[in-house]
Amino acid sequence: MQIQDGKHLTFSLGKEDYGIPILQVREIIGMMEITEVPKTPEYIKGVINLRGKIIPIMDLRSKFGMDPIEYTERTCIIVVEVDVNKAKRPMGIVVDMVSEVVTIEQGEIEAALDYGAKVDGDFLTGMGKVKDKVVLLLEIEKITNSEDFNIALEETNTRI
Amino acid sequence: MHMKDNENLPESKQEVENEFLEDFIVEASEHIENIEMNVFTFEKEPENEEVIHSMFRSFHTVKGLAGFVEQALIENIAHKTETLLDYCRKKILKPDKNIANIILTSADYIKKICEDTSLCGDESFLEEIDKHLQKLAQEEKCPDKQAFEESPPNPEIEELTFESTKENSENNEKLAGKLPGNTPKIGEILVEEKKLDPGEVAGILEKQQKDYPDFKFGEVAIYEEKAQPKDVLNAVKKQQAKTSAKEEYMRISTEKVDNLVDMVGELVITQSLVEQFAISNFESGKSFTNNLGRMARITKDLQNLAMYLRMVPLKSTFQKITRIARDTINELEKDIDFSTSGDDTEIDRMVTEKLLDPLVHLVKNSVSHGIESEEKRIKEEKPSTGSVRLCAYNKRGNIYIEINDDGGGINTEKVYQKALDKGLIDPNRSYSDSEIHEFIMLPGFSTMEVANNISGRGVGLDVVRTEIQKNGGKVEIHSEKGRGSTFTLKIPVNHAILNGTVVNIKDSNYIIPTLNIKQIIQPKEEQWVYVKNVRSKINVRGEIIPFLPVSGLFGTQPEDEEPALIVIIELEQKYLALPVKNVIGRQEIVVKPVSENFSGLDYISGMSILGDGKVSLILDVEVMFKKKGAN
Repeated sequence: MQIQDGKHLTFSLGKEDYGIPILQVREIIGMMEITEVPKTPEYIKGVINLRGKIIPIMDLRSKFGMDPIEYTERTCIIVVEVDVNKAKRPMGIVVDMVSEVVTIEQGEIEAALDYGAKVDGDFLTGMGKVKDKVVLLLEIEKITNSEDFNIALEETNTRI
Repeated sequence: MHMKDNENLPESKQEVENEFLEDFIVEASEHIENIEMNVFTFEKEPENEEVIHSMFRSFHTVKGLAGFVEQALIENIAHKTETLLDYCRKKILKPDKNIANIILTSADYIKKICEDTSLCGDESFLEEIDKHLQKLAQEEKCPDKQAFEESPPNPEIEELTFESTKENSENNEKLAGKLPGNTPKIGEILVEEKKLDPGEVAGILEKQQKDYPDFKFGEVAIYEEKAQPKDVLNAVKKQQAKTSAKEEYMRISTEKVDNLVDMVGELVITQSLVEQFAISNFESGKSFTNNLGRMARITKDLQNLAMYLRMVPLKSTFQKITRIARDTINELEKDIDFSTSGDDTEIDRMVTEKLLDPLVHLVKNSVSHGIESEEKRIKEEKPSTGSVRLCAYNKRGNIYIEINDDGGGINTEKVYQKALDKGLIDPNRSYSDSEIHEFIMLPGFSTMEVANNISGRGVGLDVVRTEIQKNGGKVEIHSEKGRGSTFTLKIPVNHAILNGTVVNIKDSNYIIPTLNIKQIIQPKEEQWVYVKNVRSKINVRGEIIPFLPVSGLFGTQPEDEEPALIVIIELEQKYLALPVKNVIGRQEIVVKPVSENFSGLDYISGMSILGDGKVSLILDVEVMFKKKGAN
């Protein structure tokens, strides 16, 4: 796992602060109406129309197994670019609140261990110290791994 | 073959090389296409010199480009084939089928390497090519070789001709220095860049006329070591940039076009939202509402234009089929004249890709099963050469593609018997001839006793029908015994637009293709047929139709609501009852493919953005019939 330093977009889920590399962030949009897609995992909220492009939406809280909360006006969708079958595809992730963009130097990052965070250790690249805060750095590709969606496929097949 | 080891290059240089390689592959593929097309004409009219010239130029260009990107293997193949063609045009060799085959094989190998450059390291592949080259050399040995001894390709000399095939006709003009309009000549550009002085240019031009009538100015300049290949390449690029304004075509990535189409779609939606607001808040007849109406029309036109950007001619599809048809005919050793027409008919690019396989299947079917053996044809007083024609035309918003053969036609008795034996049809019914013709497209039907490797590999014509139907099309068969058969594919011009009925299921909107809806009914309790206390069928005017609960379609937990309305879905004369909460309406929708993340969900065939800007899923009717409980 490669530790990435540089600019990160930070956001919060409950009391925890997370960061993702800014280069992977395409845009941040407010909450909008999501079309449900049946027979997908709980954390796949559905799809939205992003200016004529249809993109899937994942709820990060739900993905990390946190208790769901009502969406507020601070709830945001971060549109990130992820590799799906070797092509960059946009995908939205729902977070409680977007905080700020911070620069995290290599020296300020500690390798990922089990921190007791609600997050599966696999998703973390490290832990960055920013001022008085600690930011958990996420590896977005691992979170949005397309295999997550294909769970739906396997189950459907066995049912038929 | 000696390949330069690229790994030792500094990264930036390697990147530049990769870029050149990509350019090369695109250019080379175009030339290969041109060569393939010309080979077919070459076979029919071996005396046509222009065809040989054109192929020679293509191989020559590929050779030059290959040298530049250091693809020595391609360079070698192209060089040898070029020499062969050179003998042909100098009338030392007599053009025949064998030569045509060799040219095609060369083109194939170059194509293969273009697709996967790592093949150059594959031992068995290299051996194969070696054999081919030896064959080539043998062919070339026949004439008096002494006079035409050529030096092997010199990797130091790169010939740069970055021109696409369609410009070939202009090449002669260029040689004579008659460039159209005020396009700067390569020589002029080089002088301008201070790489050559005017005196040298004149010298090169003289040489070109005297010693190298077939080569371009830039090439001559390099041969004569007056200019560096890099400089000439730059000059050619510069020239291209200046001429491109006059060209009829430009290459745009599909992604850009798709983005444009998406944005225009959004514009249409936003436009209609504004319009609705205006209608309810402003009086009509005011200039504001008038202008808005005008804008709506312009937006609609814009959308049509954008959709047309994705239309491409069937030309390249037909070319590929011609190639396969030729190979099949040769393999079966039949005497068949294969011809195509209407390859300028335009169709949505996404559809052309999906059309290739069904068309190949049908053409192979006509070639192998349709056309009789030569003896039989002569016995029946038919011309000994069979004919298979592939033609396309446009009529009333649909594209028609016909595959026509003058073979024996469909043997209705045999087909009927076969279908009966396989238990595919009702033995108590009598069928008309045209109904029997349809049998050959039933799943599990194949008249050939032994499957050969040409057509009939277990997959039958039913696959063709399914594939065409997936694209909103239809297959019709017209056959006359002893006279031949015609398969007609009817495909809507714009598959991306579909008439859909929007329904509400579990508080979400879904789209069902209107074409597949037979009727919508409000079920009464007495219409239901229960099995084990579960609704399983519905009786609609005496017809018992299987019921597919929503949970069955989506594969979710059975927690079904009382069905308020029932949509009767129809597919190939089979029916299915699907419960919905409400029917919202019918509209033209733009189909977008299912994003890759959701490719695992079988019940949706696409997605669409409705008039309110929200996404709706399009239900896959075909899949409904495959779901448990549907039958």
